[in-house]
Amino acid sequence: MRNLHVYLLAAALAAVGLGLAAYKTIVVGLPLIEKASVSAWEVESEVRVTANGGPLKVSMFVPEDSREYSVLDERVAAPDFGMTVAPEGANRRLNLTAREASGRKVARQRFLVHRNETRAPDRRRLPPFPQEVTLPATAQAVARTLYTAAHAKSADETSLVSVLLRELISPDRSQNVRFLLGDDRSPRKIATVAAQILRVNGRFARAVHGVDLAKTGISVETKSWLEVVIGGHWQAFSVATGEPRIPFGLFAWWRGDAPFVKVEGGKLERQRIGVTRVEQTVLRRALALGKHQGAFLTTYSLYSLPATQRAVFRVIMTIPIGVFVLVLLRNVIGLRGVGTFMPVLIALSFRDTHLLWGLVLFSVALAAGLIVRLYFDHLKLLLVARLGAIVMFVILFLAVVTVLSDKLKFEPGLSVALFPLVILTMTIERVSVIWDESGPAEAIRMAVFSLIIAAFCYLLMAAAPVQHLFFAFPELILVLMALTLLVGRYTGYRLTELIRFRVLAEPRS
Amino acid sequence: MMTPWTLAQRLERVGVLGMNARNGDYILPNNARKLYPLVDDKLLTKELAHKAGLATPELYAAFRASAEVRRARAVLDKYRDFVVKPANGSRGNGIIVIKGRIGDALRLASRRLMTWDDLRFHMQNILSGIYSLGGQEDSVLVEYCVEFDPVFGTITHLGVPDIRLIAYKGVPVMGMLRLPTSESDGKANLHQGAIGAGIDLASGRTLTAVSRNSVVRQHPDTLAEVSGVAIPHFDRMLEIAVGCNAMTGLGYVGVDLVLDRTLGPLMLELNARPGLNIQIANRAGLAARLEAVDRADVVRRPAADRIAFAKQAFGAKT
Repeated sequence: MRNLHVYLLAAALAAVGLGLAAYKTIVVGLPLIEKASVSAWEVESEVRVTANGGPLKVSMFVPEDSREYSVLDERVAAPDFGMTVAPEGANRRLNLTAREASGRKVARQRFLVHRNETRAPDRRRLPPFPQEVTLPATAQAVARTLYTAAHAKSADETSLVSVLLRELISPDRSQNVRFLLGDDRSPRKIATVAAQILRVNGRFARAVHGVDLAKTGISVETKSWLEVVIGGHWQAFSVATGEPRIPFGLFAWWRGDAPFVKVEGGKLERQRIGVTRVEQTVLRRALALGKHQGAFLTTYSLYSLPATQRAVFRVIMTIPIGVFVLVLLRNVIGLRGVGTFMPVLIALSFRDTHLLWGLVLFSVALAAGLIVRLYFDHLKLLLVARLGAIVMFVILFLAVVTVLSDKLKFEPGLSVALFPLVILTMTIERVSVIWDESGPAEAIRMAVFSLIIAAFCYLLMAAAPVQHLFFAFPELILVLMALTLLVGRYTGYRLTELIRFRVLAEPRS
Repeated sequence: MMTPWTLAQRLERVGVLGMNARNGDYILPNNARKLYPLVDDKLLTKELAHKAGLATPELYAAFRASAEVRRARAVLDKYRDFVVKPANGSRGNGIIVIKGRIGDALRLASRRLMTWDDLRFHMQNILSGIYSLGGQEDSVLVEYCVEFDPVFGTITHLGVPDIRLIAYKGVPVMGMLRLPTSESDGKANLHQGAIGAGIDLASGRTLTAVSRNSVVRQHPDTLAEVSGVAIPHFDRMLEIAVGCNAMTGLGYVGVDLVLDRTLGPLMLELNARPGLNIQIANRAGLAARLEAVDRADVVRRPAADRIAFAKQAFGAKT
């Protein structure tokens, strides 16, 4: 019964731990390996205007998150302007205003575009009915004719749009097409006209404009495509092929027939959109995205702590792995060092000094401390007073080491300032108790063995991948706890007991 | 060379009890933590045993405070031989055995001399907690000095041999005679080099013996045969052992006894976490016997029945 209880508890803990960790890697996108990196794009738009001297109003669109992309770190650099952002139809428009402006003015907006790990829910709203129809009456008639022809040649709503688009882009254009397009055969014009034709015929449609993230450069051209509501959802159509899909990497910026920039009280000199590819660690992206989307698990993670606490917790979160190693060593292997978890604490103290120097310093301090302890033993001092005297000795010893290191220009010797004194003192005390009870050989064996375990724990706990794993996924400690509970009910032999009792396994002579 | 796996399987078949199983399956369920002070403090154990009618070495005096130690000579002068020990000591540390006087001085068992002042200083040290494991303040115990039975005369060296019995839920399950050697410095601790001889529970005769982890037949100091020695009053020892379960409430307990030449078996101390080396001395597994006790359902029967069961079930098969 007891075992069943433990098994169930362990299974529950492990399931919660692994489940949370899996959720965080797969959905939140926290990487298992810290250094994993991923691409993001820095997109910049620059607008130069010459002001007339009176009130100046420059407005341009700002992008929103889509299902595939998230927009982070938006920044606007427009020194002389007041700034507001307001929704406009399906878009958001950045309005920059100045009461009196003259000469050249420059406004920039810059943001980071991240590809979403998993597709976000579709937030595009369906437009209210009726739709805006701006074509003159004759053009509307032409649009109806084109639509009817396409309708006759198609099987369903999707193919209807495809047929219509192919009609618009085909080289041998009909009279009707030329009437609507004129000489402008740019994708932008085609998308706009296609949307107008569809709207005249009562369908929800709009032109979409953005950039191709695959084509980076200081000045890139904008891309346009078409979105039509089919079956209650916005479906994108390429205006280059007429197919109901657009190339991977197209990032939608604004929708509708309006131009990107509007200037009142000045003259638009130049507009430019630049795209640069930037490498970013998966970790940073996940954290930025989590913060952006207000995800609970990233908002309330250890990453949200101030830098100093983060540094402390990077260390603290690795202690369980060291503790688990000790549990295994004790209960499954059957080896024990000084004290219950003393080797883990010793391993922590190596952090300041690094392994080799830490081992040397610890051994020397331990040896010196033991000699003093054995001498004090001779004086028959009471426990607390004796410990106090040893702490004082250890402090003096470390002070001497540090001063000598400084004089000898021995760099590592200076790192001992925070070398944990109490851990050293307690180790000296424990080792000397073993010395009393089981003799010097056993005491030295225990001390050496403890240092070996401590070195092993240090290597494990100081390893960057381990630190990252437990810092990013603290719930893994639940998994360790589950394993520890299982070891706690392990009643089989310890490895060393096999040797101890081997005579019992031999047949009786 | 056996693989660890086959070795483990064989030990399992013999019923050898490992440390994890001892702690997890027997000590944790049967020995409540709050009962530990009853066995850790030898003064408490003695009082309990006295109430339960179990013989222990007579308590001459107990000193609990520094001020009382000043009266040590007044209290103890009338006893020729006595033993001074810390109530919470472990592994025989801090024990002094006084054997007679030479003039004003006390004569130690190790044939050195000691003044009353020296003894009082030693007692102060005990009180300050030097010999207690946790270092907490302790009390001094002065008791009757055991004259061990002549049957052990040829198979011990410098110290008093003792008998360790393990009692589980009122049933004796295994026994061992521990014989000090020169290597163990007169102490009856197997870790320190004493010899351990298994005991046939049915006959009270010693079986094979082990020194460290190897099988021996003779005492290394006296060269006398250690196997086949009949321990006098062994039945009485079994009765004392099973009484200790009821007396302390501990379901799994190690009982240390000595055999005095005039007073017979005396209970010396109890252990709530008895060691596992007794299995090597007996060349038998404890787990097999503990499971047999649980299976046999003798726990509620009278003491005599339980002892009879143990003799029948765990005695040497001839």
